[in-house]
Amino acid sequence: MKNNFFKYLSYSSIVAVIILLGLQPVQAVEVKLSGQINRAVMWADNGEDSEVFNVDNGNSSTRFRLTGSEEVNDSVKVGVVWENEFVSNGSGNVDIGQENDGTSDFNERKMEAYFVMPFGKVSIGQGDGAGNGTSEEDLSGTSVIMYSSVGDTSGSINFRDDDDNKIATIGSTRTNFDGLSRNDRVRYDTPKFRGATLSVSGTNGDAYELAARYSGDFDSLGKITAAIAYVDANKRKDPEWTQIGGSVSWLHTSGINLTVSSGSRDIDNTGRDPVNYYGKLGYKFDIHAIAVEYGVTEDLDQNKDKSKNYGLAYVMKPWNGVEFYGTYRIFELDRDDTSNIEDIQQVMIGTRVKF
Amino acid sequence: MLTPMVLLVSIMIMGVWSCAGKPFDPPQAGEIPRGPGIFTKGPDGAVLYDSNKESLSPASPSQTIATSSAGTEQPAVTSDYEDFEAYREWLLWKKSAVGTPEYEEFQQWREWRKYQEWRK
Repeated sequence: MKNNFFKYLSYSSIVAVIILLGLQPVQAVEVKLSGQINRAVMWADNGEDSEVFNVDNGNSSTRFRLTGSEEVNDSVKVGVVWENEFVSNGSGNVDIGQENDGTSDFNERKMEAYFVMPFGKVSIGQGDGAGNGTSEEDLSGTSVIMYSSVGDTSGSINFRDDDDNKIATIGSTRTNFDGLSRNDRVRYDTPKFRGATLSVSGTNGDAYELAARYSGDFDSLGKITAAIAYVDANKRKDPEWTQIGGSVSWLHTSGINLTVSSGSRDIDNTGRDPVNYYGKLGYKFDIHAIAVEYGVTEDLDQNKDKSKNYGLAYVMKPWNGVEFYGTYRIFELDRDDTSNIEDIQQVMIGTRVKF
Repeated sequence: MLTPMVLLVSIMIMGVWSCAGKPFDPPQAGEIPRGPGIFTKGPDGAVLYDSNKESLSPASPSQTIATSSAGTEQPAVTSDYEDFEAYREWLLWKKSAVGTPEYEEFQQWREWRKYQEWRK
């Protein structure tokens, strides 16, 4: 047994040396470490009670990332992305009544390899599905605290009636229909042609995503970015559904910016076709960005639901890699057979530090 | 009804405007922001290894403080440019500090260094 082990070890060493000796000189290799801490103090009031939380901002959680790439020859670049989040008391996981530090979750976000070639980019592993981000185009500079995925900062807070009965969480009644998020997939992106890219990805459960993106800078007219995606969740979801979603964001050179996002889902055998509308108007100047938003999702948790919100956000970026932010949001739920559902108010103040 | 309209507008904008405008990489909501971080000047983060520099080094040594295993702080290595900047500041100080106690102390220190050289 011992002899076998040493035999195996020596064979392995020989193979390793041969591989290392056989490596071609690389043209350019880079390995990078980066990440961010994103923490906030959040106050929320469900109409019956209120609470102050120390949270990790669910819009863009605390995480670290290791990336590396190598140009193996003039036409092929090989790269890897390894990204994990470490969320302690995530803002999307807390509800009023929680008096402790909540949970600490160490989650995979991206673990993928990619190959950039003249005919496009092929990615394999856990990473963004083709449709991820298509409903979240946002040039307002305030997305760290306020963007179309409104449930990220407060998804687990329950709407309650005036007898303090739980009705539904914000997260169960709101979505921006933004693809299948990150998943284990194979993805292909065409080369960028005049700012436009087409993408397709396939994941487990025979689900697939198709997406188109465009971004262009028009000098005096400013910048515009737009995206749209079609998703067939197939057997990955029960009940199965298909979905279409997209967004457009425009940033004028004056700093005024406008963002709209919309999407709808066709859910099998339920008779429900939920839809989402979201709009944001903002102004960016110097190190400051302010914005107001309105969004509504209909029929997601139950037919004839209308889950709405209004919001105001401010972000300041005084130094490289450092942002301070604050937001105030009001959430409302109209449900056909339930009256006296209290509004939810939320205030968040925090900072994101990139390292 | 509004959803298809919004999406139609998106497609039209993509189609019509793709004939003009310079492409750029828009920020991605929810992701680590692009650009330099608090410790680094690089566009994407700290470079642990860069084959063009053929060494293991942080991207921006001037902004980092190396920490030994005992946790004591040691000054980081500075670049030539930062050395030059420090030298220019020193020249300005030398010009403006003549007659001050600090300048006298500096002269005494120079004499002391000469004395040490002479003793060798």
